[in-house]
Amino acid sequence: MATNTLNYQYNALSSLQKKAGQENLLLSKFNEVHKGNSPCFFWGKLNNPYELSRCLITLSNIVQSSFNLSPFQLALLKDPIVTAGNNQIRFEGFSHCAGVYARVDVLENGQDGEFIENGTTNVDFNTPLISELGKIKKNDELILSVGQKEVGFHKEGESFIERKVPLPTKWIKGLTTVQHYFSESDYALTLNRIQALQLFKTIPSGKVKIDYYLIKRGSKYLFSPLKAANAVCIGGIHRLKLLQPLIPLIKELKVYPQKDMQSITFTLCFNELNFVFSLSRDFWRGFSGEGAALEALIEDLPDSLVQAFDNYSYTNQEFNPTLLSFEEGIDISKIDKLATKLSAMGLLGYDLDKNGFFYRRLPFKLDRILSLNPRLKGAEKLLEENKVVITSKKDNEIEAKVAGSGVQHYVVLKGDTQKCTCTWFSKNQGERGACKHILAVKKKTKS
Amino acid sequence: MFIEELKDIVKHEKDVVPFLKKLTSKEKREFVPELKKLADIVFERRDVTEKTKWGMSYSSESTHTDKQRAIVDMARFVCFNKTEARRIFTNNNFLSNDDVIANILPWFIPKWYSDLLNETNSWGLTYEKLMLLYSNGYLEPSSELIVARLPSIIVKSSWENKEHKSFYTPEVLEEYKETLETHIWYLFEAESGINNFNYYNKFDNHKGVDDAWIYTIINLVEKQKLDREKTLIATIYTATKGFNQNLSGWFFDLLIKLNPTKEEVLRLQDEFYAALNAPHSKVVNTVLKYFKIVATDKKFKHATFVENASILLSSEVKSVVSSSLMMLDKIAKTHASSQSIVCKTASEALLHTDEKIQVRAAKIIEKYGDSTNEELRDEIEMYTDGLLYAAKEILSEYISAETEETNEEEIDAIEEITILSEENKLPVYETIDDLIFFVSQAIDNNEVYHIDLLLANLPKLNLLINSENASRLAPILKRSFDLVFITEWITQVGNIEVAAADYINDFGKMLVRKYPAELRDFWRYTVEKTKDIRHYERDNKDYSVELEKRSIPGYIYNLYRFLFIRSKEFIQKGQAFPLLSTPTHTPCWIAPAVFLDRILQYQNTNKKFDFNDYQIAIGRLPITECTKEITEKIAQIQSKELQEVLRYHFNLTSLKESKIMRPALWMQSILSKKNAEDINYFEEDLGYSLQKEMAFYTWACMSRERTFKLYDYQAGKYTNEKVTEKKLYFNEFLPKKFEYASLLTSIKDFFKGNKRKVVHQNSIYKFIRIRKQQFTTLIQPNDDLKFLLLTPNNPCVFLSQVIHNNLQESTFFDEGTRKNMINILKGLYEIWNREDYFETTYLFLATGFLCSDKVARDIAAEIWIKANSTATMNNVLLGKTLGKLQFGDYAPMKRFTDLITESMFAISTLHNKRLFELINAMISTMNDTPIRGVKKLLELFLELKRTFPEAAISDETTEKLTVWKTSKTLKAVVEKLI
Repeated sequence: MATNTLNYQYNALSSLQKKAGQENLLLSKFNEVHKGNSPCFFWGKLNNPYELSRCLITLSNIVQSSFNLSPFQLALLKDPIVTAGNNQIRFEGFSHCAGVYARVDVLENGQDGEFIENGTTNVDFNTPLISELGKIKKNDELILSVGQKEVGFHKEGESFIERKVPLPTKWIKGLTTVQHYFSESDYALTLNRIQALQLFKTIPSGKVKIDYYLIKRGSKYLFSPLKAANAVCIGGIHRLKLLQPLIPLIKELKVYPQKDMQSITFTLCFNELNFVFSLSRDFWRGFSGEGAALEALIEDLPDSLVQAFDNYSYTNQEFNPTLLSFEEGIDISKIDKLATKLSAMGLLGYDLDKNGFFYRRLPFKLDRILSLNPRLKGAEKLLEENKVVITSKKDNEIEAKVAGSGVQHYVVLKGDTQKCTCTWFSKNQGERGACKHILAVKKKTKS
Repeated sequence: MFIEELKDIVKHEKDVVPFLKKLTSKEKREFVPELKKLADIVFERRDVTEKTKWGMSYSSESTHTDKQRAIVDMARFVCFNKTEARRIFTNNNFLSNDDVIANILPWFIPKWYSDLLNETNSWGLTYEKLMLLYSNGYLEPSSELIVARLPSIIVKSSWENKEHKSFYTPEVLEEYKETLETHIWYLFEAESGINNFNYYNKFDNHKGVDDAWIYTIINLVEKQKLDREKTLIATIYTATKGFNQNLSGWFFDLLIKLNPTKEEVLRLQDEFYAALNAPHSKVVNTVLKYFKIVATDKKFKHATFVENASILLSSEVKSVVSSSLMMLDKIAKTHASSQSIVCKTASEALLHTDEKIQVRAAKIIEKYGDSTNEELRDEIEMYTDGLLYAAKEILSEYISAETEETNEEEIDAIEEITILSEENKLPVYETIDDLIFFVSQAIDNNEVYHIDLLLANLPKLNLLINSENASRLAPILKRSFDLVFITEWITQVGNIEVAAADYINDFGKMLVRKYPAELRDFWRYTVEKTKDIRHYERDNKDYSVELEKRSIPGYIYNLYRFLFIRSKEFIQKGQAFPLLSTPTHTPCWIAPAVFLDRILQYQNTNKKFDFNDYQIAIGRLPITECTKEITEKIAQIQSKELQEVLRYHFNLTSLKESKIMRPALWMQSILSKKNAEDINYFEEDLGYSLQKEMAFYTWACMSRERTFKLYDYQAGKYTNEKVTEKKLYFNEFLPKKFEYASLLTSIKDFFKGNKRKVVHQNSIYKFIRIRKQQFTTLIQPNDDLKFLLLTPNNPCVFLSQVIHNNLQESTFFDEGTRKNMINILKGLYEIWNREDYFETTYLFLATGFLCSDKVARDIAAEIWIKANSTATMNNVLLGKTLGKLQFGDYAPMKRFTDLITESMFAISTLHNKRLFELINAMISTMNDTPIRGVKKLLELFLELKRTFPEAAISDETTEKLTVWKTSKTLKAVVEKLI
């Protein structure tokens, strides 16, 4: 049973200390699911400490930022998570309002160290640590330790740091939804450093409530409040200011809009390091409420398949549907649907640069993740209460009546289009995922 | 048993401590439920209603005395666990009150006491009290608690003889050794209110103190009670702690007062470099100030500075960029080996479109660079697009002729405007499903044209409804019904959507009568909900009141009301006639052929069209070429005058050749075509005034005196005060009562050969009026765009209303007016397709350039760019309008010059030429006394003049510049211009 509190228990505070002329960055870890055999995931040298420290500071700023929450809610900070394995380290985090997602990918050649164990974990990001990171200079040597290497440093099993925060429901839902959006995002353009600097100079000041569009005029890119043909749409553009300190340091900037402009992702490319930054459709809309992956979740895939996948995969490994199908003897068409479902369950992340999913199991209990979709729960309740009646079923067209509060909603599924007379659908026209009535009809027709 | 004893103690207000002392731990826990019940009674309040001379007064009072409540609090303090105590004591000072400290803590300290005090951080817990609790072992204060409590310790306030007194009390800091050894350093680590103690010599016991904490820290350092080096390091490192701008700035004020010596700056270079990454410009500027002092010193780590310079040079703050360039200059001068890298780094500053910055960077490159160095040439070439004339001249050796040529190529990313195309064609709904799902979203304001389409599609849907499918409409009818009852503000829904809901509700009532069984559930729902309406709400929310009898929120809403009523009439009669004004293309345009088909459909069924509907439709017909199809369709029109109007509209005949019987039928076509001769003929020869329809008012922007009433407390009465306001205003804007000439006068005039009296025609424009109302939004932001799109060919009337009501000043008085500006400018961008808009439209656009909202200014600039790309902008008129506005100092000039540099400059050669025309015209209408910020405008003008030496400055502008030449600040730039 999921509780409504997440209790971070760290063995020590994360810290940055100078030892033998090197800066040693220890990130204290905690995972509520998998305790692991080794207290340390990674220990080794980072090749670009200056850029990485700036990226981590920006990640910390993102985690601490909120574009629609009160200062009180802001005080209950969530920690970023780190995934280490397959020669890569990724740091992930969300803004508190779940509308901004960021990930720092240390690429294979960006580190020189030992992956003692693979896995994903929460890491403690405290203010003094961030302050210390700010002091890292270009030619400093930086050793990173995800988890404590020297076991003797603290008493085994005893937690030194304990922080309870309300269960980051939004975070977890957002973390799963954003991967789905990534998989639907296509590469649009690349800007060099100067173009990126010019572009970021055109962000309007203050909190912007209208959509802006990334357009090209002559050789310059800029943000304009008016839509042009094929322009990339950005809602709540002021959130991009979080990236401003990093732009002078980048090599290039890549832009990936989601196919229906429901999110936009910027990849800041450094040497051997990528900073992935994604914005939700608007500043008042978190990724968490989007319901993009809801339809994938109604797919009834056998637990054994999910378990087989979980056993088969290792951290940061690319998700290879064909190989899995071959190894486990499962129909390939079923495996295709699996990717979306698994990412919605928090088992897959998406790498835009490589254009594919990779395995990483979120450090939260699975039942938490599955219990977080109210629309899905609503659909299941409608089915339990027998409120869905299919009135017509032809080859490619289904009509149904679904009992709502006081009235019967009318649902039509026709080829790829699906419509409902409920308020949610009328307002959003399917842009923010299907309503519970459509989900219920779909699930009923599948069973 | 215990509870009875406690009740007795409460009742007689006895000492509770002996009773509490005798309770064991177990007894305390068992006692809690009873204690909670007692607390509920003791803390209960009762309502008090009193009759006063001002009317009835409602308040509440305690049912028990303060002492009784304190007794129960003490019992709760002793018996409650942490969760229970947190609920009770979080928002009050009980935990640290003197009674508790003196009478309970010496014999009982709850386990949770220290934790809860740290957590609750109550304002009553002063630092002194905190230290008292700490020294007695009652409390282990957290650093957060100390940071919150320590700052206020050095100031004491009190009331003496009804006067507020403040005393400076720094001695308290030395009372406990922990304070200066440990606690004070916490203030350098976490955010606190340490910067809020500005007293500016207002202490009653001590003079010479401006900022109490800066003064205190400096004193402590001077007296060596705080280590100077440690203080300096801690102060510098505050820049890395993520403090807010004010606090960060305060610590750097402290640093300036600490006045680090040259040796200290050199010794603490690493710390200063860490601070260089701070997000606040004050911090960065201060660091740069100290670095400038040591830049030429051997010990200065100049290579590190060059490494960090990229971030500094990309700063938005001009002073940071300038200082960084100065540093680079000094470094290059002192260290010859660094010159190459310094030049490459300095080139990054060329990104800024500021002449001074570019020139400074260019000079560094000129001084220390090698023009044969390919790498440096490549780097500079990347910036040539944005290089200004002066910088370009300095760097001429670095810019190859090839690059210059490439830049000369015309850049035109904006496509030509096509008003009617397949891309912007609106969908046509025919099937019942399509119609149902469309109607379902129409009142959600998803698209600006949805209401227009609703008016055309609901009659269509009506014809397809039968007993089998009627129930499908129930959810839509319910939502529409609910919308009328919703009292809270719905962000997406405007008054027009609410009116649309009324219209759908009337349709719903018809359906319920026709299909009672199928819509039974919906009908029951309406009956139940209507019962709940409170009496005072009945008027507005009576479901039974028909659309025609409902009140409207403003005069301008009449236009939509006519259309709703017209469409409802079709539904009632079971007809599916289109409205003439239904758009066929986004956002509001009607394809001429479709419009003519509609006219013919009315004609062929002997149906009369609505006059307002007709005028809106004509206003939405884009001025396009007349095709054979159009000519043929017009020929089929039987009404001679209507045929004539349309022949005139589509350029098949001239106005002078036409016989005008009903001028109102012609007016929209004349206004849409905007032919000056036709307007003159219509107004002068036929005597039909179009002044209001063209929003043709004289206007000015200048200072005016206004008298207002101010209450004088000493005299005890209102006095008349005068204030000078700079406002934009129209002359004779408000409509005067129109007096018709009597028949006799008309006859006399006819025989005397006098000109005809001006006659005002009935037109939709008379409804485009917004009256000032107190406490209500003048133009609902969800409706504003729909009003603009009623008359896209002639938007000036609506825009004149917006200017009159919202834009008399360049700042917005509420969020609604700001949204109006953005929405309307966005709409204007969409419909802008010609140069010959009347002056008021240009006036509105000009206010867009100057208003206080950056987004609105950006949109105005986009309109300018688009219009110039398609040769649909009258830059001279716009320029003169801008100049006239600035004549009265409508807005700070910097807003406009910043907009030019950021969004309008160097778009293309063509745009730069148009910009020259615009500024040229603008200067000519400005005040002889140059206003602040004009210098930058002239610098931009000069930049353009240098780019286009052949472009001529007009005589009026030359005249103005000659006058301005007498100004010392402008002399140099004017001399370069003329």
